[in-house]
Amino acid sequence: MNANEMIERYVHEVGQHLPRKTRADIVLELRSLLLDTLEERSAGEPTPQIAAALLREFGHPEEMAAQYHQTEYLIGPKLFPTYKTVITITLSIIGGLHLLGLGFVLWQESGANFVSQLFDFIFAFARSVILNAGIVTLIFALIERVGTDSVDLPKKAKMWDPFALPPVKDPNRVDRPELAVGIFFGLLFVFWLNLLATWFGESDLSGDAVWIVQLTAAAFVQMIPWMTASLLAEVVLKGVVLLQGRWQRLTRWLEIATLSFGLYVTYRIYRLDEISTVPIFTTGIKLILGIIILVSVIELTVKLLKLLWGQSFTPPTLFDRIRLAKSG
Amino acid sequence: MVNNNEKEELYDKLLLELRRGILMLAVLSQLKEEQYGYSLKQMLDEQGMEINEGTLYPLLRRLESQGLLESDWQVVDDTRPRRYYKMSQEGEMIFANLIQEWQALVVVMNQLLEGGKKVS
Repeated sequence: MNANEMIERYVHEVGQHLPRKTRADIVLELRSLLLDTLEERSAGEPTPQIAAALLREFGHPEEMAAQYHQTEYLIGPKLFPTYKTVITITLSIIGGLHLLGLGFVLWQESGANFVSQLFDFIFAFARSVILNAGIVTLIFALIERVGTDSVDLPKKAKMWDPFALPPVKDPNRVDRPELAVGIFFGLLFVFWLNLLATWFGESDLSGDAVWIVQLTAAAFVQMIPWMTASLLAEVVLKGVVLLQGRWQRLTRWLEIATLSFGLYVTYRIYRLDEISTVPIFTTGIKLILGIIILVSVIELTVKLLKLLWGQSFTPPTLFDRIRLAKSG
Repeated sequence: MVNNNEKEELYDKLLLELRRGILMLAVLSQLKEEQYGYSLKQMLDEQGMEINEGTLYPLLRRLESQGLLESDWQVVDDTRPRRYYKMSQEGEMIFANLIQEWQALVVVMNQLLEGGKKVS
């Protein structure tokens, strides 16, 4: 390999790690710079050794290419701690649910086919981890791209007004991690609900072994579209609030509406005679639903009272600011 | 416990941060007249401001994208095409302000480092 070929390989390698838009131009310039330097150092007689020493000074092709573009994040440092928390919680829940499922199947089969069930569990768990970790990452990557905070910061920094600072205990301040977690679990629940019939309700009658796991009662399955609608309404609302960066009067009213709808759907499920085909499950779920309904009624009442009498959604007026400035 | 390698890495990182702004000023100072990458590096080297190629050439493009420099490809004396950089009009204005800031900073820093009293 002669000196020129070495240079050519180097610039090509750098080009492979550059964005397509700027690649040709940077490669052209880099080649010109390298050849200039090589010519100067070798007094017109370039050797591979001189070229190699020069390229070492320029640095590894990837390192060189990295200098030409700014660091890009899929999930930036601001969101990353929340992302880590959500991933940990999600994977823990998935692990717990799968273990529960394994336990249930082993109990139903009285421990038969343990090894085969264990392998099924491992494969299903691995598939589920990859899928859900992917969904969480995708949602956070989207929030990173559309989240207003980081994108508009320079503009905000120029326009900010100390008199417009929200109070320390501001109920309209958006808790981004909480909303992000809410959106994720809402979508996850919708996903699971709509696959329940496939996962737990089908049977294979073609083989020798007839095996049916029907955990959900038919009446409950009929409620799935209602639950999906309620969950999706909440997810969409949370998404809008996340983008707006602050609760507004309208979004607070929409929150009341979605919570009321959710409460209605929960109550209808609570009133079903049979939620699961396993009676003890029905009793357990009804107990949980009862607690959820009670908590939701209290939450809804408090939110409604605050909305009607408590909260102010308007930022301080110019008059307020002047008054505050004079008194300060 | 921090080992020697980590200490060296930390020192290199701090040095890099310290030099980053200064290099930008040094590069601008040499681009009142147009220069191509290699000639600029030589000028800086000769005056004691050594700068790595991997830092200098991307910096030129960054300054151009920020509007402080302008560039064009030229073929001089039948040699290979070279990209020539020069400070833009906007770059000159900003550079003039930056020099003032720099000179004020040098005075303050000297006072701070030497522990002397403020000269009014």
